[in-house]
Amino acid sequence: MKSKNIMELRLLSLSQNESFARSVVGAFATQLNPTLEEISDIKTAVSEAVTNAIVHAYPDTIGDIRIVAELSGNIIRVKVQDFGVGIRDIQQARQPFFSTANDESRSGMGFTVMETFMDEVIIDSTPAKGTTVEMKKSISKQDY
Amino acid sequence: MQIHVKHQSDIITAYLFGELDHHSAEEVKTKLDDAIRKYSDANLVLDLKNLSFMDSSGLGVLLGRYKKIKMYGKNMYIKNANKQVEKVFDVSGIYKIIKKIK
Repeated sequence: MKSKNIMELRLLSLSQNESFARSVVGAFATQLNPTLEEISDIKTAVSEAVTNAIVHAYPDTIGDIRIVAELSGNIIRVKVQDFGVGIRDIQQARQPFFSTANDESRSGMGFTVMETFMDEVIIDSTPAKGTTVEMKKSISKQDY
Repeated sequence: MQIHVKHQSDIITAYLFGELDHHSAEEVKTKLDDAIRKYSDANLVLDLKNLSFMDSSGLGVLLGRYKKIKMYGKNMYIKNANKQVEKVFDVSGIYKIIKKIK
């Protein structure tokens, strides 16, 4: 593979797109020859970020979600961006079991899962402008 | 997402098929609650052998059902989680609350 590749995906914040979004990024990541576990990790982290955008960024509206994935060397970077309400307190949002959602299926573990399954998670958010979650993971070198 | 429920004496086994995320959470919640209500004198075993994917939305669904079944004085168990699902369970520490069985 050439040393760099980029893909971009734009979706509406509909819950039926959660599975589509994680599958697309997972499929793109296979270009780095990851292990099955590494693909699962990436898919799980993307699912969390996209679900957060659907549930929290656009609580009463349908908005755009932009996903950019970049492969460079053995590293994948995934950016999940929304243009919604933003996060008021990022520190608090990162805490395990913290959730502002009334929906009981939101366990408050989204960011904890992203941080565990990826090497690095950066959250950038501005109230009323939106949130960008950038995640990075190095893929192990495998012998064939 | 599909759920098959089998009731045998004092145990309900719910077999989950497919992917449990925020999108499928509501359906899973409703189907499990129906089974819990119908067989309120039984313990619930969730067989996750055919659950191919779960994210943190699944944790919320499972913990909610656990609370519900505890109100009936019964218990809930998890079995056969695949590697990806197991990793989400491990991160959350859910096994300190809901027991894993073989």
